[in-house]
Amino acid sequence: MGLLSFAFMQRALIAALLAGITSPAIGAYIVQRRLSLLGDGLGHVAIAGVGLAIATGTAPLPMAVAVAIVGAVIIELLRQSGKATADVAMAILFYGGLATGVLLAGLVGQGTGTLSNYLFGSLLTIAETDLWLILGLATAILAATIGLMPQLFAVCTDEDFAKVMGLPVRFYNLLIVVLAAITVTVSMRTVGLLMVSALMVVPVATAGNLLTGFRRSFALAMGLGVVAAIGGVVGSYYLNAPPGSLIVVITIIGFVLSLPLAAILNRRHRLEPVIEITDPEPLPHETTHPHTDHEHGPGCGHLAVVHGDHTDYVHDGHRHAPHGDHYDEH
Amino acid sequence: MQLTTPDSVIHTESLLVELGGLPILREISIEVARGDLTALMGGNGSGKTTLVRALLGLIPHQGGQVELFGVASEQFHDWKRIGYVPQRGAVSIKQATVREVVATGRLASRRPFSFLSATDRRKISAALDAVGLADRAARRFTELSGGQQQRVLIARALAGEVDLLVLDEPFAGVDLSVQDSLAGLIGELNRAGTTVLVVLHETGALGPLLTNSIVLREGRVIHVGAPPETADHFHERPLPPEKPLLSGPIGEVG
Repeated sequence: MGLLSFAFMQRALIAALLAGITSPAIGAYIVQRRLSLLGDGLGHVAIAGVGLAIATGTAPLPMAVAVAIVGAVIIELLRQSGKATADVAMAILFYGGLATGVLLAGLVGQGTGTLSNYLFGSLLTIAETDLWLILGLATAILAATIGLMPQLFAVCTDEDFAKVMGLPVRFYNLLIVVLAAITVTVSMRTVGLLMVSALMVVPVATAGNLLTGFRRSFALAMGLGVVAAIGGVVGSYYLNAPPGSLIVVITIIGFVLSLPLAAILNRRHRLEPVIEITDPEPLPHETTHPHTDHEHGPGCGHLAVVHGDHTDYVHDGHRHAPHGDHYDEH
Repeated sequence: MQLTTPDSVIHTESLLVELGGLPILREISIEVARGDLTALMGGNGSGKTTLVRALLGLIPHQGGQVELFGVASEQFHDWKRIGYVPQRGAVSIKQATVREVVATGRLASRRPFSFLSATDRRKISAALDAVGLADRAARRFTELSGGQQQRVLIARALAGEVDLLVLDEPFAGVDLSVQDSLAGLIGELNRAGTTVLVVLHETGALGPLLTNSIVLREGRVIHVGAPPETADHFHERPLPPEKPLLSGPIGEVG
């Protein structure tokens, strides 16, 4: 492959691989906690770090990491405070971050040109020193998200239960948002800060459609993330488009494809809806209108409902229960 | 300082709990002894759930003392002995198998960065067996019915080295026949030696199995001892008759 002979493409592909693995790894917890848009907010905050680095002429990646971590800690403290105003405070933080970044970059005459490399991803801007930092951060993210999987899963699904088991819940909560902040910056060069959240959330949703269980879908989501990130980088080389947009489009295509697949996979063990009988008094006997042209049964086309010890079939808004040679209204 | 007998599992002395500056629980002095099956009862807003949360250290208390297994709650660290079954609505599990949910019950004795040990696996399987869901272990938690989810949460609590099981309204939102089978399960666990504290709105199917009951009203204990015969006796006072929203010259109100 010709494109591997370019040093910048080698760096871009390694960065894409790391972004593709780490983003769904932390995304799995964020989705479980129903904070799917957290990554988006953290991306906005990190933009302030990039703007600050451009304005001061320092390296953007370490600055973005530092600012995003500070933002993450503030977000988590706001969330833990539980105040109704926390929601608005977070919105102010997110848009403040975005605006500060754009403003700072503009003040030094860089405009949004340089900044857009960070907003939408770029193949050309990854320096070798960046790559080492990305590698180190990605390793830390993977060690925590995989090594602490049972603890983080418990905290995300049921905080109270985790607390009663003696887990340091506040620490783990903080760890999750800080890891998310680091992931955002790891993926910044590849996907871009405005779209990084998609790589954290969409592969997790796709994997959840296809597989049962947290661990298995966690592993599949990382695989899907890598495919999307590498595919996006390679594709953008040929299309001369920002890689972030292509990566996100690929993840969403994957999600859309997973929907019919999931329907087929789930049909095998889909449960029929159940209506329990709680009243011991039997229903009065009422036969349905004459019912000769159609015989109800499994797969007859009418919705089957498990009703106590028998099955009803929903027919024109009635539930028909087979009774000898006729059907009863239930 | 130990105030209690060796058989004490939960002991509180003049417990005071405030939420947002308002006293919610006052002068709560209760005792749960080993082997008890105690119901914590009371109407809506009587403070049942708040008391359970204070006992478990989920919310701080502003006065008095809580002892768990004879140890002041501030010094208590043996959390694996306590199995907590929260209200079903409090858990948000999107993507997990039944077994994965139950496995989180082992975390009180597992260290970070460790694999499941043989003991962990055995305990998880035993907990699933105890609630009769071993055949559903690989299913999605969200696919189960309400009663089955409640069983999974009980299994999760049992997966530790549980001496005390605390259940918060286990019958909420499950129908009568399922309540009977859950009550049977709770009774069985109690007979096998587990102390149980269960928050209930009405004694329901658990009534005949209870060994003790504590009834709260407006944040205070109003009854301790034999379970109330009829739940209604302890319910809140009837609401004042509703006043019509509109009256006077505007028009008639039906």
